[in-house]
Amino acid sequence: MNLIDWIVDLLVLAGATLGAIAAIGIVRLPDLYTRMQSATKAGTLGVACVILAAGIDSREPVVLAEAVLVIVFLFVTSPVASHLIGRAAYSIGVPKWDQTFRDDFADDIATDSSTERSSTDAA
Amino acid sequence: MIASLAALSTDVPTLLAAEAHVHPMSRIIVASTIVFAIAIAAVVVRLIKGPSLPDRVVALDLLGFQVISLVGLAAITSGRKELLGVALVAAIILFLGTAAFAMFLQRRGHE
Repeated sequence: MNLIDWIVDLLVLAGATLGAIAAIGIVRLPDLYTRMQSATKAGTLGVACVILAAGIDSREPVVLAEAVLVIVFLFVTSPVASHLIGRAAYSIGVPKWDQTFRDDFADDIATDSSTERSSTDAA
Repeated sequence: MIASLAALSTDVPTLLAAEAHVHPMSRIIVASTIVFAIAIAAVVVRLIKGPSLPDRVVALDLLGFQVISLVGLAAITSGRKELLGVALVAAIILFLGTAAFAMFLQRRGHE
């Protein structure tokens, strides 16, 4: 086993740990919004570690570039998807955790006029 | 004929072994595959149990991430570089599916 194999093993171990943390979070956390945070952050970093390990393991620059492309795509799209799901869930009234103490979006909706609210929701 | 086939059968594995490098099947790789399998089982529990539809969509998102990780592990253990393209296409389809679910939820909530 040379150095590249050690690096690949280390990255795979980190990715598996983060994937396990994400799975524990999505089972144990009390709320849709906290679960979404666990799934997006830990899940994205875990899959990025494993894909980077696969790219390094191939020992070819082209394959490594493809792996980096996958990682960049995941890092760009995963927060967008999470934001869309969170916004849709908030707008259809998914209940929050009973110990949630801060909700800036509700304050924004309360201070907005009703016409602005309907226009942003239609968009 | 048979002699040439025998020569071929001896030649091809040595040729492949010389050309493609395959990661040694270490204990860490095996343990990581098992960990991802258990994590997928846990996510499926949330996918079945989730109280609302957005819970299930979030669980499906994480399930897609774990499956992409398993594709990466398969690329490492088998030494096939083409599997990274599979990972890229799976990531694209995952994002499109989640965005479509979000738009569906938003539209259904206002009607």
